[in-house]
Amino acid sequence: MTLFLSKLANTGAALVDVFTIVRCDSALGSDTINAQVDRISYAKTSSGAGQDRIEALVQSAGNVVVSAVPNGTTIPDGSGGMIPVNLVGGATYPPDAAGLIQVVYCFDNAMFGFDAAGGQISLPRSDILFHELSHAFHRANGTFNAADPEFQAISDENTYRAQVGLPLRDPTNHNGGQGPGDGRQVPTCTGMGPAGPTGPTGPSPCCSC
Amino acid sequence: MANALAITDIALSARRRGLPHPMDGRRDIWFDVTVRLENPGTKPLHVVSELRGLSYDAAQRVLTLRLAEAPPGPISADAPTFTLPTPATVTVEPHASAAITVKIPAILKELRPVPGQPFALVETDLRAMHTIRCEIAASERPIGQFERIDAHALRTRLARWGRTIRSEAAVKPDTRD
Repeated sequence: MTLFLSKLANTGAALVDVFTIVRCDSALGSDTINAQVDRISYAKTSSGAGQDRIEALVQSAGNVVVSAVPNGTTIPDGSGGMIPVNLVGGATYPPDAAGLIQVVYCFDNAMFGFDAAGGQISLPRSDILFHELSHAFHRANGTFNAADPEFQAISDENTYRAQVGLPLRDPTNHNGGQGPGDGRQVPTCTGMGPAGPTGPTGPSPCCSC
Repeated sequence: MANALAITDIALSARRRGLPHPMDGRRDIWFDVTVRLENPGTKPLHVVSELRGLSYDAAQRVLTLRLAEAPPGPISADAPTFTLPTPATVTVEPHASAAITVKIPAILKELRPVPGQPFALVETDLRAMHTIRCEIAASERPIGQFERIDAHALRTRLARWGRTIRSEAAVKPDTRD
C-alpha cells in the first residue's frame, strides 16, 4: 500500500525526482523490498503541494510503481502497439488485476507545454512525474476523472508548479512537445543530491567519439 | 501530390556517446539517422519530422522508423492515460530537398507488461541491424492544430492524414561499445 520505484528502470533518477518533489525533505526514505522495487517511505516534515501529494500516495490504498526510463524507451500504448516515451513525456496505467498502478516517465528529455496565453513553457522532469503521479493518485483513490483526466492532472500539476515558482499550464490545453520551452527549471533545494539542475534544458549532451 | 515526395537517402551516423551519467557513470550510445527527401512536385509538402514509433525485427535485422501515425488498434482495458502531441512537421518547398535527422538508441529498451508485477525491461541491441526502413507521412495540407481529444482519437485522425511513403537502405552500424 504505497509508492514503489522500479529497479528494472532507473531507480536513481526516480528517487532524485521524488526528492525534488518533496523539496528535499529529509524525511523521505527508500527501502529495498526485492529485486524489482524499492519502497518509498515518507511522513512530511514540511508542507507544500509536492510534500502533500507524495505523503498521500505513500499512505494511499493503492500500490503505485514508478519507472523512470530514458529517451527512446518504448512503452505499451494501450492500442496494441508501442510508443516512444519521449513523445508523450509519461503515461499512467490503470490498476491491473493485482491492483498495481504503473507510472512511466522519461527522465532525460526536454518537454514543453502551454500556458494560458499560448506560450511554450518547460515541463521539467519532476513536473512530468508529478503530473503522472496525479493520475495515479486519483486512480488509487477513486477520484479519477475519466471524462477529462488531463484537465484534472494539469490542475494538480499547477499546484506543484506554483510551489516551485514555475508558470502555470493551461489546464484546457494538454498539447505540448519535445523541446526546452521557456528553459525554466525547478529550483534546486538544500540537501538535494546529486547537486545540479533537476531537468534538462535540451537533448542529452552529446559528443562524437 | 504528396506521393510525389521521394526519400533519396537514409544514412546512419557513427555511434554517438553521451557524457557519463552523474548517477552511475554510464554513457549512452546512440546513432543519428538522416533521411533526405525531395519534393519534385509543384506544391509545398508538409512532412512529419519526428519519430512517432520504432520497431525492430530481430529475425530480419530490420529497424523500422515511423515518421507517420499507424492506425491504432482497439483501446484495451489497460490503456494508459497519456497526452499525445501533434507531430512536428517541416515544409519541403516545390523542387527542393530537405533532411530530417532522428536519434535512435544503440540498445532499444522496451517496457513490457507482466501481470501483477512491475513492467519488465526488454533490451535489444540494434547494432545487429542490416537494414533501416523509413515510413514518412506527407501532405499538401498542414497537419492541423491541437485538438482537445484523447490520444486514440488523435492517432486515428493522423493515420488518415496525407500519404505515407516508404524506403529502406542497407546499413553497417558502428558496433563499438
